[in-house]
Amino acid sequence: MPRKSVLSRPLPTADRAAGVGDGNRHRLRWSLGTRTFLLRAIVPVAVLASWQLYSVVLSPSLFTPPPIEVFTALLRLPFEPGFLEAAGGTLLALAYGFGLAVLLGIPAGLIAGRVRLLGAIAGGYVALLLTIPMASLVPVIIVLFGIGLEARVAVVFAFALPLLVGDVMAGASSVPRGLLEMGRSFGCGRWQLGRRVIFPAALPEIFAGLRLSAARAVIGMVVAELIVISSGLGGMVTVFLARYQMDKAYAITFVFLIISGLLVGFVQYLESRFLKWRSSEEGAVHAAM
Amino acid sequence: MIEVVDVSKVYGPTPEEQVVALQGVSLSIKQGEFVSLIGASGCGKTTLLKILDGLIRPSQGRVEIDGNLVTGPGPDRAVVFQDFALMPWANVIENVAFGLSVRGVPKRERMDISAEHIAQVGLVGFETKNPGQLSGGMQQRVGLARALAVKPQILLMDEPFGSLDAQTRHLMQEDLLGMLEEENLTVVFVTHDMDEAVYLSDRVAIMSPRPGRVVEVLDVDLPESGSAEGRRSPEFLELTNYIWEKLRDAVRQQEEMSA
Repeated sequence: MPRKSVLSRPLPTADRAAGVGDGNRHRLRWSLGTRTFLLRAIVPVAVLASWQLYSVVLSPSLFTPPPIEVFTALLRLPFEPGFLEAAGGTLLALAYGFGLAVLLGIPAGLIAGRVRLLGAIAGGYVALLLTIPMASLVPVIIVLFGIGLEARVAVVFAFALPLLVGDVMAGASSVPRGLLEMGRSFGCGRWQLGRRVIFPAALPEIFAGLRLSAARAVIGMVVAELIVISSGLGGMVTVFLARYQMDKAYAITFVFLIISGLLVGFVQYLESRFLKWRSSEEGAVHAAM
Repeated sequence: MIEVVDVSKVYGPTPEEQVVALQGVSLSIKQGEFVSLIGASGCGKTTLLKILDGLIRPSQGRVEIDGNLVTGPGPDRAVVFQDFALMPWANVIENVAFGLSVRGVPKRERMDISAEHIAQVGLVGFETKNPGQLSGGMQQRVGLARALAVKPQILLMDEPFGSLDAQTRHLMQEDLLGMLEEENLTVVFVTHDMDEAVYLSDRVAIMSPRPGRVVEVLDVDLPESGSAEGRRSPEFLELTNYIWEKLRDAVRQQEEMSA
């Protein structure tokens, strides 16, 4: 009696593959998004759990408050006297510094990306400024600007600008030549070409630059806060440390994280709104072929 | 209508490194004519087309249109590009309206004109699609609609169907002839496909490389094309074979050079 061959087995239907029907009825089928989220959440949860374990059980000490205490301190922070003022000052420095970097960096990058001589000069500076640790320039900035808001704005600006200019330049210089020719053939002058062809074509790179330099701006803000400790959130950290209120000091760290998340998240939101055409490209080109 | 007078184009900083893209090209194109420029790679046909549009200045010689010297792109000419050159961030109707928008035509008017030409090229219903969602043939129709929308007198087409598969190409050629019946355009059409040149044109200018020049201009005296049989008639084959004979040596040389 010949054994049943592979070919005679019933073909798996879509139902069976999905685990629906027969014995799989009671197995939960989470979507890919849910599963990804859960897997990603494992690391932070593990970190928090081990932190909790360490600070409560293994090595309780004044200097390692457990995450639960830090979290409650974080929630109570807005009511801490002086917090809102300090946070406002810090955020102002971030807004001015990053805003200035964007207002100057995008036009400068666009021009440098199109004018070869300027691009060569700027490119050198950008490369240099990206390799040195920007934090090492902070003392110089303090000498130049003092220790007030101007200094903090300057630090944020210095952190954010080089990367942004570099990315904008890359975007502006890589506009497909065919598009530029097309623009010229339909009568675009220099300014029209820049506005109608170069800028939109460079936008994906510009947004990439904005995302990354937003993150760098926040780093700059934190560095400025921790070094220029006279005011702002950095000042509060010092006060909390002096009072041995570790949970509150740690909570400020989380405030920095939240600020970073919000800013970068905002840029990403703008990106998804203005670059809708990118996602429609990838999937549908193959469908239309 | 178009007078190409002794046009030469040389590239290269020093005499040793110079490439003579065009040498002493003279050509007369009458109003309403369909003229193809055909030749092997490097014969200067695309360079000549760009000089006609004013995108490139000749090193020597000049181009006159109706007696006026060509110094740059102008509203009387429009180009259809081989790689379509559509703006991926804009949808079909915005792409078609591009030339009008640059010229400052008010929005309502531009959209109306664009809609007309979108219908003319057979893309009704695709106005809000992005180029990334269209096939090659459809994208080139958008390119064509964009060129026609600015109501040029001269249509300059740079191997417009070169990136398309053979079937789509045939269809586009037929459709192009159909569209041109309604217009009164002068067309200069760059191609490397002899069949295409003979099928579409009133005259074919055969070009040769190194240095780029016009070797011969053929009259295409075929009964009105537009049918599949037209492509196989003895007269058609005679012409295409003749052109191929002229081109073959140059094409072989190009092959050997790039090997």
